[in-house]
Amino acid sequence: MQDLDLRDPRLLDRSLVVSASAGSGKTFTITVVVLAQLGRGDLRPHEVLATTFSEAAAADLRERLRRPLNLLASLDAAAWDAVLGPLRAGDGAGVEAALEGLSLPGELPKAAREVGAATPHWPGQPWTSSPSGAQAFWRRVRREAELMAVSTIHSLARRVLGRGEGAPGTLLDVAHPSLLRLLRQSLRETLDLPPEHPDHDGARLLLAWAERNWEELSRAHDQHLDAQGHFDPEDPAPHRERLRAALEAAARALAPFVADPLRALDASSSSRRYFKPSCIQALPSPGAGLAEQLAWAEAQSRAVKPENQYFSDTFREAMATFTPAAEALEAWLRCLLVGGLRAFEERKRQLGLATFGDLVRQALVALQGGGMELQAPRLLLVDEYQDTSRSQDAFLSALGAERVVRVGDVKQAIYGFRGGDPALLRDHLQAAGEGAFRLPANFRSTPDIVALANGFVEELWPRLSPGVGDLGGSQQARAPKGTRVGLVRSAAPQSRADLPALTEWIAALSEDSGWARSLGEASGRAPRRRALLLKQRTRLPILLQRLKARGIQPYVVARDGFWDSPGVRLMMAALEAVAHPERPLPCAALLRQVAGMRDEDLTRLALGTGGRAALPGLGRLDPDALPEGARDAGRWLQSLLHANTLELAGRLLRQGALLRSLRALAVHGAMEPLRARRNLAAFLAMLLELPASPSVAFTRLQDERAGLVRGDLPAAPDEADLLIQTVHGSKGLEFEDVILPLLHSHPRSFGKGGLRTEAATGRLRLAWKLGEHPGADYEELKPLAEARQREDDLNLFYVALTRARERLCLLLQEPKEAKPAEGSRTWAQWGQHLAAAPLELRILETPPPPGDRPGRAARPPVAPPLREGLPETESVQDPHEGLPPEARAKARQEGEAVHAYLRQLLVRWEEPASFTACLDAAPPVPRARENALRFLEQFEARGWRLLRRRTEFPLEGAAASGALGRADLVVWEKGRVHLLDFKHSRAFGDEELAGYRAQLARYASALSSKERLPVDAWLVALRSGDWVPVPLVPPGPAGPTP
Amino acid sequence: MSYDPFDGVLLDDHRPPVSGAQGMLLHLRVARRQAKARGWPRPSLDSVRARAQACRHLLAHGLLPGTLRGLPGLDLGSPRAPHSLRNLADHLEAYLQEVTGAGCLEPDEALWRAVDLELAGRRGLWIERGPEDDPIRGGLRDLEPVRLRALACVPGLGGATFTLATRKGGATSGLFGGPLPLVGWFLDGLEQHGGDLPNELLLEEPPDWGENPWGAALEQLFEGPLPPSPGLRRGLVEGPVDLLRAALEQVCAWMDAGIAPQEITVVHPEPARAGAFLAPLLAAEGGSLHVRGALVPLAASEAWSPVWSLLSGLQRWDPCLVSGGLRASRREDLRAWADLLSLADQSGPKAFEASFMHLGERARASAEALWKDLLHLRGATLPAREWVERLGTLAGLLRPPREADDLYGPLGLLKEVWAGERWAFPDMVEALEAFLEVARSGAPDRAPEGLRLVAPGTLLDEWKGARATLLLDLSEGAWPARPEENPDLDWNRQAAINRALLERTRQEGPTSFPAALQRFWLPRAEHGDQVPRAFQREAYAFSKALALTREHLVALSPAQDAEGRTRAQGPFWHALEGVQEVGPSDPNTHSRLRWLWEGGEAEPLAEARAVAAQARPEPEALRAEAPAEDRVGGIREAWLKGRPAASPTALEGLARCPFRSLAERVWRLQVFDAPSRLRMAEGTLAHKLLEAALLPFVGVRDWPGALLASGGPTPEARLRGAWETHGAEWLADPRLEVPREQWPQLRLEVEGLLPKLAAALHEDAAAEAPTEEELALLFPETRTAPSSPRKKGAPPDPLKQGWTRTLLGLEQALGPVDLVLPGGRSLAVAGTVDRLERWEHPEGPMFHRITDYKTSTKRRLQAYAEAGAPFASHLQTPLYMLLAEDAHPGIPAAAALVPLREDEPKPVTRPLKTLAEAGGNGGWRTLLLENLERLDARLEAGDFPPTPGEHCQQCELGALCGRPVDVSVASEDGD
Repeated sequence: MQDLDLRDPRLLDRSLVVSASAGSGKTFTITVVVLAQLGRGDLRPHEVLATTFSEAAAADLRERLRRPLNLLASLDAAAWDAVLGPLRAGDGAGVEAALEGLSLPGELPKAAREVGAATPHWPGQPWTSSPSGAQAFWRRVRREAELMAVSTIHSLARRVLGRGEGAPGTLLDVAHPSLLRLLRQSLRETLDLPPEHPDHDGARLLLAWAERNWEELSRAHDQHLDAQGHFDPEDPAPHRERLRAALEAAARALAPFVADPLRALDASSSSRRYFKPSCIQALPSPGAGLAEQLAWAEAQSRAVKPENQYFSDTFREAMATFTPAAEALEAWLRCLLVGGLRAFEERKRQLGLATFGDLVRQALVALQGGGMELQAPRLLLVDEYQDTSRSQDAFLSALGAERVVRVGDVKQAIYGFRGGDPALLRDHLQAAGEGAFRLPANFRSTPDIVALANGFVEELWPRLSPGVGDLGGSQQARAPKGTRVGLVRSAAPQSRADLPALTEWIAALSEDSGWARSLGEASGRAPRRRALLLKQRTRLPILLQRLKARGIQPYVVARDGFWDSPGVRLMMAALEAVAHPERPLPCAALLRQVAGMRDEDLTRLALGTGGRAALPGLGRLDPDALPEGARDAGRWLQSLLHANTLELAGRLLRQGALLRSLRALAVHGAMEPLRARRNLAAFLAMLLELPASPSVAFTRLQDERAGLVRGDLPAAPDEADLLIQTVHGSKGLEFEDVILPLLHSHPRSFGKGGLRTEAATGRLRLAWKLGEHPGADYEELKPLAEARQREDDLNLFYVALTRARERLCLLLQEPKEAKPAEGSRTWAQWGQHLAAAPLELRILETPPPPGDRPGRAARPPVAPPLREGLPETESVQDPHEGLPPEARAKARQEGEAVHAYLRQLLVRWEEPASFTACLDAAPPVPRARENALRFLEQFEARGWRLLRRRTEFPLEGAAASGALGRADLVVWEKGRVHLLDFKHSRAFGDEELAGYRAQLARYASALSSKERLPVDAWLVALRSGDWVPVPLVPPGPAGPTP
Repeated sequence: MSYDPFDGVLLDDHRPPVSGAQGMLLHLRVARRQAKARGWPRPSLDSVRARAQACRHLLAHGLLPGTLRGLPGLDLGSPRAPHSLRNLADHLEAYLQEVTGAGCLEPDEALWRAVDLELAGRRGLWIERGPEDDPIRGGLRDLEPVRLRALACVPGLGGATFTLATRKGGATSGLFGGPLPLVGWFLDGLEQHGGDLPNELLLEEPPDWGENPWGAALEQLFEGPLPPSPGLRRGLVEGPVDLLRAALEQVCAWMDAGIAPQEITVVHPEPARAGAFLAPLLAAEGGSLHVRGALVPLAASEAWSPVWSLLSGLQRWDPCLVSGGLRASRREDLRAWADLLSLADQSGPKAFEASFMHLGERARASAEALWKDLLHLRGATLPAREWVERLGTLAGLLRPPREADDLYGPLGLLKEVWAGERWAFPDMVEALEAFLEVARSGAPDRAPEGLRLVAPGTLLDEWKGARATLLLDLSEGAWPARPEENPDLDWNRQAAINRALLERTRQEGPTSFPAALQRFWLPRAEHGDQVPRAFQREAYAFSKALALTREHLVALSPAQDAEGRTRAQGPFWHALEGVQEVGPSDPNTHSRLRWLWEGGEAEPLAEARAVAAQARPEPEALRAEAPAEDRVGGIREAWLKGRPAASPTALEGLARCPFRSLAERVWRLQVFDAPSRLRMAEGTLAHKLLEAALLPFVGVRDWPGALLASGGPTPEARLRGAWETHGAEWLADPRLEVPREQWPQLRLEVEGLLPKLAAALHEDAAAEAPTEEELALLFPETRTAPSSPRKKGAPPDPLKQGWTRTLLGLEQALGPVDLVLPGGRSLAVAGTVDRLERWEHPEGPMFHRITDYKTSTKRRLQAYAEAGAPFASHLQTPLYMLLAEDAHPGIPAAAALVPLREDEPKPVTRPLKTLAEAGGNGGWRTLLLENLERLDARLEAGDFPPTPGEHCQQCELGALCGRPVDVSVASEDGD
């Protein structure tokens, strides 16, 4: 790998692989590479395709790519005059200075650096010859940049599928309950075999495991396919028979020891006294079925710990006969599992369900199948390459881009658990030869923080993980010198990581004075974002209690904080109360929290319902049974039963109790109302996308809630003393000051049921154990999985170390004994090695005393002016509620048909042939023809036939909404205008007349102002032939709209 | 109603125009037929949508199939390529035949043909216009070739006047600096190719265009920053809902400044949805809202979404989706079924069938009848029209809350459109989906006047300006919408058609309507700067909003999406680069929503409850107090549920969270989801198994010896035997409350536990001595300091062997015992322990051990030993010890927990260590009684505050008690 120099012209004519460490200006580099090429005119924006890992990153990259184009497109001729001089000379610094001298508004000046960096590639381009040429060129590029495709790989796959037969109808996360339900159905049906089936016992064993691990199984299934694995069927019979034979062999081998348990003892062993004959289990009965044999083997295998020294060699040999049994069992179960997963895959396909992984894989298949007529991009940019999976990699390759720029950092690959495979980036770096580059500078952090990260990468990492290979080298700091990195050493507790034990330090470093006393003053940047980054959140609630007790205001970005957030809980309760009007719990929540009922009143309500004590659901709530003060609120709650999803939300906010209860959360910490409101806003935004029926919306939300862990929205509120979040969540973020606890918490160990893909063959591998005896895949996968876990953890550690811009304090909870680097597993152990390395760390002994906490000057809120509110509109009752729906629909259709018929007749009245043809085409409505003819007679009788008339006369602003309305018929008489409104009725009631009057008044008003003549209005009851003159009143508030 | 393309002009045709939804169904029919005929896979809805859109484009440009095929030099592609122009033309042709067959007309095609007739001297149009009428006023939509041709060529029309803001060339600027604005390109074409067209097309500037404080600056729009102006501002807000909040605040600020709501326009990409949310909030401010445009698709409407949920759930055999549909019914019997279906954990017919047995008789009959209908429906193949009947019947059966026109109107339309072809259920569902996505629900209820909330498209034709305009959401893809690429008519194909049209014009010379005018507007500059962009129409609306707003124009946009992810801003946002930013929030609150949202209004009871519900360390939680308003006196009896004594379980619940105890025991609020029911049942069955296995040994002295005696059945065999004998009966016990569909899982779970239970029995029976914690608590005087190791050669600890164990009882009732509390009152307590046994040592020591089985892991049981826990949140076991001591005076008691989820479960007695640390002479008893006294006082005073803690993780009462978050963060290092 060579250092990347943005002036190097070779960058623009080949594929590149760029290793970009944290804070190295990766996006800047990508932007300059694209900008330089656009400026050279050998690439147009729609020929660029950029992908990245997340929607947020895509949005960010899009903004960054467009920013210099916005700048260049905004320059007028005079500005170009100033810029073109240095530009023609290839003087990037000169161009940057010229742009900065232009006093450009808004965000535009921020892109001057990118433009400066791209400048060396532009001298001699035709557009540089004149300011007007430059102006025209860049404005065209900017216009076309709207078509520059920047998206996630999944969105891209969706687009590609759109070019073929279309994307799957329903996309689901792998843990979505709907998908899990299908997985359960598929596996249960496949594995629920009758007792006489030869695979019955294995299937039950497997199903019992699956029943406890559905989500993991779904994830592993998707990842297997993502790793380009397959589910080719395999005959289980040979493995089953091998297992049967192996178990029989094991029983034969152990029989002598069952007869005489002491044969299992090595009499010479010094620890022989610990031997217990009961560790030899009775053999399965002769002729026992496979289930019994397996149970025996499991028990026997578990009963003997191989590490115990007192077993005789012959016994060890006999126990070793379980190994082939374990291998056969593992292979047998794998075959059965593959069968189940195939069924799941097939069913998923049939139902048009897909995961995001499926989307990419289907797009890959479509591309490989040809016939997509997809234009290959000329430049493909792939950001965060370390997080791509094998199928994503294959998909990107299949796009057939002319050139590819892959950017990533193997050190920041922390999504292995989602299927990301950093080995792909390593391979591409290796294969790229001269096209492999690294970014040598760090623009984010102070030299001491960069030195710490360098020390970790250069010194410690190779010792912790020998053979790790080239990690991209150390970086040179470009940020100004700052304070040192601090290290606090404390003893780790015996049992588990103890975050609360660090309270004193965390509290001290939640204040600027604490940092200043420990590590020195800050550079003065404002606002300062302080973060506590955690590998995991074990025992965080206790830390929070203690911090809040000290007056610290933390803001926690919690993993499962969203659904549990108070505003969200209450809004969900309201939806549930409407969707389930018989359920008492959500109704009780509304009565207590929204209607403000006291617990005593609720108790009375519960005990007073007679029979078995219980609270009512919203559907059975009797407002008159509530205490007098709560009756209105009870009625209001009941009215929610008729609201749709969004009305419900709006009305709850209007009522106010929900928002007032969020204010009360300040008791739990000043940041809590803010968090709760942010989550409530996010929840309401979800509602905006949901169906209007509360029942359906609630069902969808329940599924969302059950399926996806949804955290608080990321936020860095200025008022918080400390932002607390996981290191995972901090990827891509930076903070001025970071507190990083290094705790002695062991990573999760590899367990039975792990699934992986065999890289060479794409075969599924299932790790299984028979008692204590591992299968072959288990033996092989365990170290691989643990190594992978270690790699992810090391990457996470690197990410954590590199989030700070200015000050970093490590809080090390070190275990008593240091382990050698290779054997160490916890962050605390790694921290011990880091502390021992020759790095400039300032050892901090005692936490500084709390400083004077500046009082928070709360802005006194100014109440809004009092306005008289309008009553809440109840949903309009259907006026035909009593009628059967079919009759209603029929009446409406008949009305429309008669209306159209009459209109046609009026238009064709003067063309006899046409009129007759039209008359004969009467709609299938009783007496339609007779009624129409009667109307025409009446019309003629008034002497209006020869007057100018118009049907369907458009009148702007006449509709109830103020939009365009259409009058049925307008007739111009001398000095007046007649406005006719047809109704397929026999007569009109008073209420109807009132409504029609308002309607006609609006029409008349519009007509009168257009024609400047007085207007007469008529309602025509076509079924009776009555013409009812309608006295007009000025348009006012709406009556019921007909 | 026939089609009227212009004011006072009708087609001479009484057929109705085909509606969008109807058209979509016809496209689907054609696409399916074409795919079948050519052996392609069944077309997805995506591809049909794309094809329909391509057809619409072709029709709007007058590119009828014949025209397309006859264009010189246009490569139509291979018939084998699904997206070739050849196939598109075939599709379009077949579609138009379908439209005709359905008795409808496709407006653009009909207009094109009508104008053909008119040009041939025959009647194609009915023109109701007279000489006294003004010229037709053209709008932006009339600039499509098919309409432009009519206006320009039909003699009777006399031309049209377009009120559009454009001037050709000169100083007027176009989008992003292009020298020509929106319609210039088209007019160029008119001048060049159609100068001798019969009718005159006039262009006039809209009145008041640009007469606002920043009007002059509009010249610079899209070219660079607009100069600052007090009335023109923009600002980013956090997310989509903050956008609506900020909108309301801005509207109220304008109202405060004297602008009536009627004079304000708010532009939002989805006004119908935003309106439903905003209407009550605006009404609180005294303003009414009238909403225009962008109606929601029927699939999301209140009337249809339940039906759709049910049908799509049925298609996928997904009980929860079906449940979502059924829940909306007004029929209680169906709702009861829906509730059970929502608990199902798997898809498939079995999940449905298994749900009936838990219904009452009447509900079961209804559910089974409906299920039969649904099954029949799912398996049916019927003529399409008959499907409509079935849907109508289904809707009737469901009785949704609103049997409004939204439900039956579309059914009527479907009846007209769905013809006679035979469809299986999936075909019908797909066709229905196509329909429901395109058809829109009826207009939302709206006030006749008030603040106008409109979609961007509404600005084009029906908007005449406002005093104040608020533009909401200029983020990427919102406004302007992202230009979608269409596989059937992509930019390259469009460019090829353009070239062919130009060529045809060149070959044919001037005609009444030159083919060159039929060109597409391309989204990128294929032909230099002259070509308008894909979003021109929307850009015009945006310009119009700026130009016709007289006083204030504010653009607000969300910086994030609903999930907190950054959103990029679109070109309109960037066009406003440099205008004044909406600054830090105005200190004066204008809307009540903001006032409430920012915490301006307090609720004393909520505040008092929040104080009571603070998270506290465990010992302090016992001292928490409910606010005075929430005291509930005189409910001891209700809390005891009529029993004479309190059970340790109830007391532990009271200690853990008094509020939850009140809610569950007095208000009878309980929530059991399927997984927790399964877990509880598993525990119950494990207890029953152990009880059955040990039953023969009750009263047996040295029961471990008897259990492990050689020759007898092993513990596992005993357990397995018990399971085989009683399993079915236990499962069927209604008190177990496990739905039958989960029995197989429960069986698997229990059978998976059997080896562990056996190991637990074996391990327990094989123990030669009590645990060290038991000895330390019971016989402290005999124990050395735990840290000092036994010296080599020292005599063996006598208490480590020689014990005899007698099993006194299983499921043994203890009490009621009147425990005398320190203050003198007494509290009656009674409970049942899993197992009680006596341990006797030949040298005299003796004690009772209570064994408590836990279907849990050893790690989970650590919580029982944490400081204070045995006296508060886990006081059950010490309380049992007290009861045992009372029942057997003089003999001390200990308790052991057995974690049955361990492979080799060993009794856990760590909590005893915590008891021992409470002080000598049984100091733990005093502590425990003190705490019981507190609980007794709670019952007496009716004081039931919520005491949040880790137990909240399994509690569903969060919305009821209002506890804070962050009290129950699960440990992530596994269990």
